[in-house]
Amino acid sequence: MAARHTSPAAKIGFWLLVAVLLVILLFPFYYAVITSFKSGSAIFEVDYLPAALSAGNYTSIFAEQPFGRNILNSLVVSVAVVGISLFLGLTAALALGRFRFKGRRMMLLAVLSVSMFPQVAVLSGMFELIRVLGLFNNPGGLILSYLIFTLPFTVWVLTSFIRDLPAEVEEAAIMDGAKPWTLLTRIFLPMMWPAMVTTGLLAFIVAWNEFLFALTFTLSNDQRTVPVAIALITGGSEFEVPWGRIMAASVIVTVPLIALVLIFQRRIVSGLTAGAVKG
Amino acid sequence: MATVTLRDLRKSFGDTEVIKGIDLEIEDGKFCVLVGPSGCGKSTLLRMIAGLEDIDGGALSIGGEVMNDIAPAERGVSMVFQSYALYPHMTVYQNMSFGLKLAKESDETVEERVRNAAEILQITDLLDRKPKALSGGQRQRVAIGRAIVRDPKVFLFDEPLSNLDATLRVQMRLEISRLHRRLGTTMIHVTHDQVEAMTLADQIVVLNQGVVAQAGTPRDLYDRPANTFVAGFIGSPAMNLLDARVKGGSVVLEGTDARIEGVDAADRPDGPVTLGFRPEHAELRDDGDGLPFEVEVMEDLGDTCVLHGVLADGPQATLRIPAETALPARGDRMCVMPGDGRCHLFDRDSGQRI
Ligand SMILES: Nc1ncnc2c1ncn2[C@@H]1O[C@H](COP(=O)(O)OP(=O)(O)OP(=O)(O)O)[C@@H](O)[C@H]1O
Ligand SMILES: [Mg+2]
Repeated sequence: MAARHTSPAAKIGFWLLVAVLLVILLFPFYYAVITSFKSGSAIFEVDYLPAALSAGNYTSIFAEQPFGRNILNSLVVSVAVVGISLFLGLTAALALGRFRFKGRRMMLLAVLSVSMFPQVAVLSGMFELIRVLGLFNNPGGLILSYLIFTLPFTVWVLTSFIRDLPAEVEEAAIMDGAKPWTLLTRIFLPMMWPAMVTTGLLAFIVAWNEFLFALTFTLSNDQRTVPVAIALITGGSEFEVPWGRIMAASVIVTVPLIALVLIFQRRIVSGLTAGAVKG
Repeated sequence: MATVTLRDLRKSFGDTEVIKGIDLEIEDGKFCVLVGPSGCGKSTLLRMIAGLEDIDGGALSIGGEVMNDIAPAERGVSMVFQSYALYPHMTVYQNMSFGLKLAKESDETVEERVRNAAEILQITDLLDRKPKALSGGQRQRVAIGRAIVRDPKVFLFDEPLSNLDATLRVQMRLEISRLHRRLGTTMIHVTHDQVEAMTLADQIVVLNQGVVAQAGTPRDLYDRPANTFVAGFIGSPAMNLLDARVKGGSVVLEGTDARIEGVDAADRPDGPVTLGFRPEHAELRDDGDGLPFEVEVMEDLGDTCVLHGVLADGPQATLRIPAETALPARGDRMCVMPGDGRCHLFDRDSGQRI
């Protein structure tokens, strides 16, 4: 590598830069964690090292409101969105990427154009739809509406990925007697893990963090998802913003995302098709 | 058993007809090699036999059964692709057993067939590896192994050796030949490589722009090419094809008075023809009784040497002579004559053999 010939000064400069970047990136999160462990008025004192740790904020968010239930809602909604997006995205991608038919380009463009509208533009229409389907104040309504965000990019990413897979591997499987379903599950799916994991993760994050629809389509406290629940955390009086508890809740809901990325990071590597065709 | 018969086979992509009516019969157990310039439709024809391309016209039968509308897996054919096309996420064993498992063969049968094939191809040690941990030659063997285990009636190879380096190619060529002798199965093999075609084939089919230019044994094609296309395509360096003229029963090079001795044109009417003779069939004449040849480029191949130059102060020609004698150099003039009975005459317009 280039580092072989660099002077010590350049090396120090490089790591200094890395350190600065890390501080800038991580400081907000660090401060949130610190704040979440402070109690009472200690929150309004600016210090960068935790003086006294107290888990009071963490216990109180679960005690004073159905926060556990909110997390469960978020989890159900997000997992369902990921599952449905990947299933629909994959089957659509197989059709759009591997078969020639009239209107294929039109269909791809139509899928993409869905994601061009701002969220508020579809809000009222979506509201009517959800009410007609009887999904108001129900996780089902959120799952349905989140698919507008997740399906377009899932379909597009998976389609272009499937299109780049070597055609001869598919043909070899056809010669071996694989029917379309077998092709999808035994040949394409295993080769598509990197794309599936990446799009799945993105879909999860979108669904986990979504706020506007979640606020609009739910009514009661125990149907809410986490982002709305956090925003609606109230203090003892209307003049008090309970920063400690808000921070504690934010930390709790960030942890699953970090865990997911760490678990799947080894899967988010391309090159799984290595060895299929000539190097 | 598994004779492959093509009757007026046709295929178009959009408006362009790529396969323009091919009639061909490949007898059971024969090794047939398809050759032809790039884009002439070799792969397309092979894929039509495999069932990967629809057949637009004509009939394809394998073992007397019409196969036009039969699914690829049910035609009893196996294909080896140029890019190997192994399943990257499966081990060698899984790669080879995939088809058998889909065909619901019993576990013992699968195990036995895979072990057998692995033994034949000497890849038993590799059965637990993934394709990415294999070399090019090993991948090629696995691809062939995957074709063997299905015990097909016909093997189809689409340039299986073109990704290998020269040494490995020669070795795999021998192995394919051995495999053919051992299995006795009909094989259809597409290649660009002259030597591969000549050495492997019982029957060579030369394709040109979607039609069969000639089909026959390697000897036939070498000794009696049916037209100038085949004459120029088979053999390396390529046959000399020179404009000539029949004049009073003998053949004269166009634009010169040089008479070619070794051809019999006694019963031909006067008129233009194309004269063909292979570089290796020119004789050096020490006695000065022949055509003058001026050397422009000399290529020493060790056993023989190839000379490019001007024949009889007229057309360009190529000669190949044994490299035993003192080698000629650039600018040398020598005296040559195409060998007796080794010349070919073609109609100048149609290119067909006379
Ligand atoms: N899917 C396709 N769509 C349109 N044209 C095609 C398609 N496949 C092949 N062709 C055309 O058909 C012709 C024959 O192609 P083919 O692949 O059979 O040639 P080939 O003889 O195998 O050539 P090569 O030696 O380069 O592999 C080419 O002109 C090619 O452009
Ligand atoms: Mg080809």
